[in-house]
Amino acid sequence: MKYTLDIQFFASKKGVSSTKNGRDSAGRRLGAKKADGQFANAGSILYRQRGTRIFPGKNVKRGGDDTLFATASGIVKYERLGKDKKQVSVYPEEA
Amino acid sequence: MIRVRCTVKRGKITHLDVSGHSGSADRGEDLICAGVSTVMFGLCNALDEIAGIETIRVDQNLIAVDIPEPDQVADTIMRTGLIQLKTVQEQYSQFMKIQLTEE
Repeated sequence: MKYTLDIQFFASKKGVSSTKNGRDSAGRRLGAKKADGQFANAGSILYRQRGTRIFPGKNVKRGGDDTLFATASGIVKYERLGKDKKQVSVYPEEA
Repeated sequence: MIRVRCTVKRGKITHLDVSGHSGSADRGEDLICAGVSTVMFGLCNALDEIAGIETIRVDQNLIAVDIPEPDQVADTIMRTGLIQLKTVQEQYSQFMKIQLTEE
């Protein structure tokens, strides 16, 4: 016979089983953007987060996506808040 | 999805091609693919040995037959092949599609 039968001629590639997984979104680079004791200008981002892992303290506000940013220039301080929470504050340097 | 394209001119089949992957199972376990492969290789050998047709192309996941002026014998063999493909497609339409074009 001129044409030799390949009984899996119209099969997908060798042993490649179709899987419904294998997708993931890109990392969102969350976390601290200013360290404790670091100087931060007013408006600069201190902490990127989802929900309030860290709460806004003095001179710090929370944005729409829970990002914490400084409302005054000064030194960044990460502090305890109550028993089991943390907050971040910005203390303006004495002139 | 295995795709079958068939062209009929003046009541005779002048082109038939089958391409793609069935995707119904992994290689080695794909029963739909086995059925379609058997029909197509059988068709190619029948056209070659009975009707002397040589315008057959076998490529990666593609078998194409072109018969510009089919005689009665070649046309009968092609019709038989198409009916066999339809028989598979009727039961497994999610893995196989047949497109018929009349010219």
